[in-house]
Amino acid sequence: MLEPANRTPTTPDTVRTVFARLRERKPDLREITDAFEETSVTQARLAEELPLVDLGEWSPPASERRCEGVSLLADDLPAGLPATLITVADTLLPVLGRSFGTIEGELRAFGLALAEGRLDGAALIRAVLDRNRLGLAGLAEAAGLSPGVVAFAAPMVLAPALARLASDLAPLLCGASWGKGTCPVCGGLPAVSYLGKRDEDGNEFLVGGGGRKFLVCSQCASQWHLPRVTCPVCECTESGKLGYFRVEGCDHERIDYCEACKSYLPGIDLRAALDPAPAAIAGIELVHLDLLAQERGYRPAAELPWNRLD
Amino acid sequence: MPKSFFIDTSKCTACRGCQLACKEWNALDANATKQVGTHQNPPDLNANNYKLVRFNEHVIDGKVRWFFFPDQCRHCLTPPCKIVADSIKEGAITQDEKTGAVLFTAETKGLTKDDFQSIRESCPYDIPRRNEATGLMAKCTMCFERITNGMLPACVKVCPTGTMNFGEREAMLELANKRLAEVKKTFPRASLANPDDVSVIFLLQDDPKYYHSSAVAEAPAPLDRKAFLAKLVGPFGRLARELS
Amino acid sequence: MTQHWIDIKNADVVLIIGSNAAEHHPISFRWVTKAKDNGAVVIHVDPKFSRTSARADIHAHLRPGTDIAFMGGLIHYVLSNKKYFKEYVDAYTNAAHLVGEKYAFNDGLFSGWNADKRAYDRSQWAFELDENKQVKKDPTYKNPRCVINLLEKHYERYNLKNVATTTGIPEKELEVIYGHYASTGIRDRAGTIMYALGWTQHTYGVQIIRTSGILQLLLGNIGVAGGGVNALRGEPNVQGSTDHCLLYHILPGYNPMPFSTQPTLADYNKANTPLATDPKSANWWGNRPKYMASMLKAWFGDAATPESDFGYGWLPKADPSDDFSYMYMFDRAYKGQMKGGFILGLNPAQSVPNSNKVRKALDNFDWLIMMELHHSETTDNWRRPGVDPKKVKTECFLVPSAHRLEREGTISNSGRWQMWHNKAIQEPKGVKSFGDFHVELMNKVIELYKKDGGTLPEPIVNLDWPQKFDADTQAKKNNGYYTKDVTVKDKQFKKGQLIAGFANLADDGSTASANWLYCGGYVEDGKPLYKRRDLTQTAEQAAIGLFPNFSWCWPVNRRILYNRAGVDPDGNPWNPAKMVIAWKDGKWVGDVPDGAWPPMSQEGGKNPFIMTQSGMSQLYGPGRLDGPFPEHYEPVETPITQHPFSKQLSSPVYKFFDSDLDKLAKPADAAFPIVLTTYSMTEHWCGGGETRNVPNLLEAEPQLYVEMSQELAKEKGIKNGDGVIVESIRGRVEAIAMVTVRMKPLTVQGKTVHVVGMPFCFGWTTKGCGDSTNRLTVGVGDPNTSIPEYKACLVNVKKADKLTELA
Repeated sequence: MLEPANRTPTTPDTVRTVFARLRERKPDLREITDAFEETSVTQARLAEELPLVDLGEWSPPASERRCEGVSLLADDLPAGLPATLITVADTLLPVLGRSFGTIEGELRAFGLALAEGRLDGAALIRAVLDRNRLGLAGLAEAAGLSPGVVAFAAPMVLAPALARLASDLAPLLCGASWGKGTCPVCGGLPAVSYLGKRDEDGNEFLVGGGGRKFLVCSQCASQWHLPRVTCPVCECTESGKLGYFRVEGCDHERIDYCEACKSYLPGIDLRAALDPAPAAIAGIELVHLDLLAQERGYRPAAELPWNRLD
Repeated sequence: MPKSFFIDTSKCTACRGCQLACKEWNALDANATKQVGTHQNPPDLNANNYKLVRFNEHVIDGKVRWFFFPDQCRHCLTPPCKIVADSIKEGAITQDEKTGAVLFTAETKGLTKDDFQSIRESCPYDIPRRNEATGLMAKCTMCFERITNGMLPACVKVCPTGTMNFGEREAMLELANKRLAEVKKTFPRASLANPDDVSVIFLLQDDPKYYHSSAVAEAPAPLDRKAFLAKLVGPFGRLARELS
Repeated sequence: MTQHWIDIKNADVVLIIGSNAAEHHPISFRWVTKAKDNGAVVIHVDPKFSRTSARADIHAHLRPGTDIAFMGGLIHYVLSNKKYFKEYVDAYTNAAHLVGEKYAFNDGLFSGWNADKRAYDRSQWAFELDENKQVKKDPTYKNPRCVINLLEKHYERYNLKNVATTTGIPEKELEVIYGHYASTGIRDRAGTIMYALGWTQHTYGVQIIRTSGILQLLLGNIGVAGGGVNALRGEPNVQGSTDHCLLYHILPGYNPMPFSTQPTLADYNKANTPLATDPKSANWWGNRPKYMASMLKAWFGDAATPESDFGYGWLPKADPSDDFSYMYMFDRAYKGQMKGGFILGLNPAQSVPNSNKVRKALDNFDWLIMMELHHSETTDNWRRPGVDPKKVKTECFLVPSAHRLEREGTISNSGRWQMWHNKAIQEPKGVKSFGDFHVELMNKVIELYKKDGGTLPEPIVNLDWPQKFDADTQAKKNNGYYTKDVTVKDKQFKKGQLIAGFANLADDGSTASANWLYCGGYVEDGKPLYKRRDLTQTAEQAAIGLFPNFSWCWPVNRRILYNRAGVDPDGNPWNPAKMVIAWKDGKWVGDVPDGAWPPMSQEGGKNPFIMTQSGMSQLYGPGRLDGPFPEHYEPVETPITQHPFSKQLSSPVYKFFDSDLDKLAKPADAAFPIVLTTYSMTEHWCGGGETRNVPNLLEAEPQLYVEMSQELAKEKGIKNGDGVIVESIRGRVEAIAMVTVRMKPLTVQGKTVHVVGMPFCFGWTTKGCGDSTNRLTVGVGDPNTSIPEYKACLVNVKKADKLTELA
């Protein structure tokens, strides 16, 4: 695997910094900043502090299958992941409830159902990872919960647990050629892309290269390389179908879109960016571009809490 | 948090990407220039060139040496130009607290030619220029709009050799010292130009005089505000201004 | 390049000569500095100290046009100090081959010289053949007619003293440089040679390049990582345009131009299909008939049948003595022998030597159609300074051309990688790409021929011509396809199916391929290999940065040519740490080998240089018009009167013209005592037609200059920045003096020789920037290629009283 493009660590401090400057640079986005700051900070703290996820009997899929595009979590889940999910829910759901007061009660019910086992953690995780909306709704209803609230909150609760797991599993990815639009660890869709900095190879004459495209997983925040002229959603490689646009004067922020599947992905060009936000929350700085892309009729590659603008 | 440039001239090939990118980003008109016997063109900084690569060649110890110096405002930590300007017209030159950028504002339009001259003379690096048509003063802006929007300055973005660097002051100082130690192995006379006084830190491989007459500040250190006022603004000029 | 860009990093010594790589091929230089980081020694030999010299370990000022003396000295150094790689020379070169008795070299001339015809009878240089037409050999090298012995004798005269007095490089400097480069003649060291137009633009340019071939073979530097002979090609796509025959003397894929003496395809094939002169020779050009038939099939489609001789008869044929290169073309135009023409993407009034003649020649056209981005010295020649437009008869049409960012298609980089180039922006309305223009124009011509008929309509009406230009479709055609259902060795192929590689091409019309070299670059599923961006490679490939899955490279994705010479006869790499290929467990690993045959020592093994008749590389090469060994000659205009070590001053066979405007200064002409060399610059692209129209670039480099030493300036009373007149026997140019320590007077035959250098990118259509430097340069050319001698001529320099061109 290539070195990740964005090496700004995701810590409570770096996340706070992003929100602080977001307030300053893009005051119009205040509602979004207010809604997600505490949750994002807590997620970052949890990802740092969570104990090792117990892998149990878990083993990765065979390497040939992985080369064919099967993610590490496609077949089995580590035994300890549901427990980690509950740990996260205990801390995160109250924070989320404070930011989203109207559903505070339902969030509490969600946490309770998880803790009491009325809602099967493993099944919930599987449904999220498989992007199985109906399955997720079924699980929620069976536990007497609001499907909408579960669909909203479950990925957010899962994120720190997966981020913790992903950093443990990263060594397993060494040397593998991936080339897919979905995450090699959890199979998630990308939240945002980075165009890498120029090579820091100490060459005394030319600092070459750069511009390699990396995608950031919307679920576990892993970063992986994908050839630039490739749509991460439908893997279309026809240059005529792929395009991008930027807001004039901001040459480091862009939307890559695909005419074949009408999807889009916000991106940050590190060759021009001064102080990149940590990968896990970088997308929140580009919400103004989400708006433009959706106005033009494109759909986000991954649905995120802050890009459901309709 | 204060920002700094680190300009590693040991890596510069004088491709002039920075010089042109600066003009393109700031939409500065091309000057009608002449060839005057050097690749350095335009010959000097001017209201349409905030950035200029200076070319100098010397034979040192029997070897041809070619020095490139991508000149620009140093964004001094205590900018003498601002001290002088403040005494004439508050707000003509400002310093952004957060980044340390020293900025010439639209207020400079009100300054006379003589005012400009005394500001220019206060600069140990001879940077300030004046657009005679508009009366505005001109120099590097640290790409203030770009950096406050999270972008690298245009000259840094375009540099293909690693000469131009920009970031947190601490990080730039660290990089500068690391490179200095490296370069010193081959060029023992290498130095950093006034690193404690400026936000634009040049690494020079050899004696600064080979690069440019104002590569480094001659004064031991920038004087404080009071000393400057005493030195640069004559009592009569000051009195005349106060009375008008 | 025999190699590719990344491979330069594998070199232990880098010799840059005839190129300013750092300024003009900056990406190549990135890999040079990587080699340097790994401990390589970088040597720059060039008349001017440039940014390349500034980053090299050693720079030597060479007098323009003395490259063969310099390189010959290096060959002599390697041979006389026994620094060559003996195992390699024994196994893979024609060192042991016996040259026929008729070969001789006396005082600057080879045997077979015919002064009346100004040509050699090359049959006198032939190898000695046995009764089976195989080359005779003496592996003991005892026979004095062994190539290696003749080589050693030929370069005996190139001793340090003679080389120093010729080139102007002091003996001590030569010895240091030679010592470094000769150090690569062992198994685990490699040296690379990088050159560009500084080598080709001489009346003996081909022979200069031959010296690098000889040297690299002696040192075992061909077929290995970090070695090779590397012509730096760049953005003008010289690599692609040569492969696809932009030049008159070849057809696509380096098949020779048909001659009038070859009326049928059988005649052509007979003349151009060599027979092997060694039992182990693969003799790849033996496949020529397959490549020709497939090409004709691609051109004439269904009309190309065995009955129609595949349309070979419709091709134009040249007389063997004809030369249609551009200097000859403008000579014909100057003599009033041409009526009209198309000039696309070229600015000859600015960039062809002796441009005063070219400008007058253009006046003789009745009509001209030109395609350009901007007005150029050629498009506006009818209103050039000093000319009354009313008196110019030419009717000019200027068609606005799409910029290369407004076009898509394939481009071939210097390492022979074919890559797809996307269109970046839509061209403005009414603007055409060259492809669209050609296809539409030809369709109109075809329509008219079909309607009205005409003399010999077949070549036109029978063309397999598209309705609209599409680069992708053309790329498929270059790759080739089956023209009918066929079965080859039990495998079935369908009509229209793309062909996997040129080994599958046939001479019976069952295959069409417009360029055999590019066969295999496009595969069936619609994903051309040249669009690949896959970075995966094996550990061995990664060790040398081979990246076999990124884009596609001709031939058959072989990244390093002649790689079978990079292993010993048993298939073991000379340098295992940087192996290119190796024979492991009965197969080749690493790069794509030059043929899948087993190693040479095994049954069925083949010699590694598959494009030569013997399969051996040619230290002795009897095929060129000016000799089997490179010999130093002076430029046609030279500051000396006596060749330093022979009686023949200049090449006996260089090409020249006899018009009243083709004047030549005599050797050491007192009126023109200074040597002029010309070059490109970073800020302006080629002739400057595009970049002079970018205001900020013009601001940075606004006017023509002439770089000269402080010593010369002092002698001439010129100060830095003064306006000066530079004058040759052909023309006069205004320039600004740039007095610099980067130029240096040279000591040649005990005398001081001054060298000045000028860029050629300024022209009168950009007001006040100066005008074409090529009004000074000389219209003489290499006998093999007709490339002009831009790099050396004689001038004088004086301070100007008044400037008009630079006003």
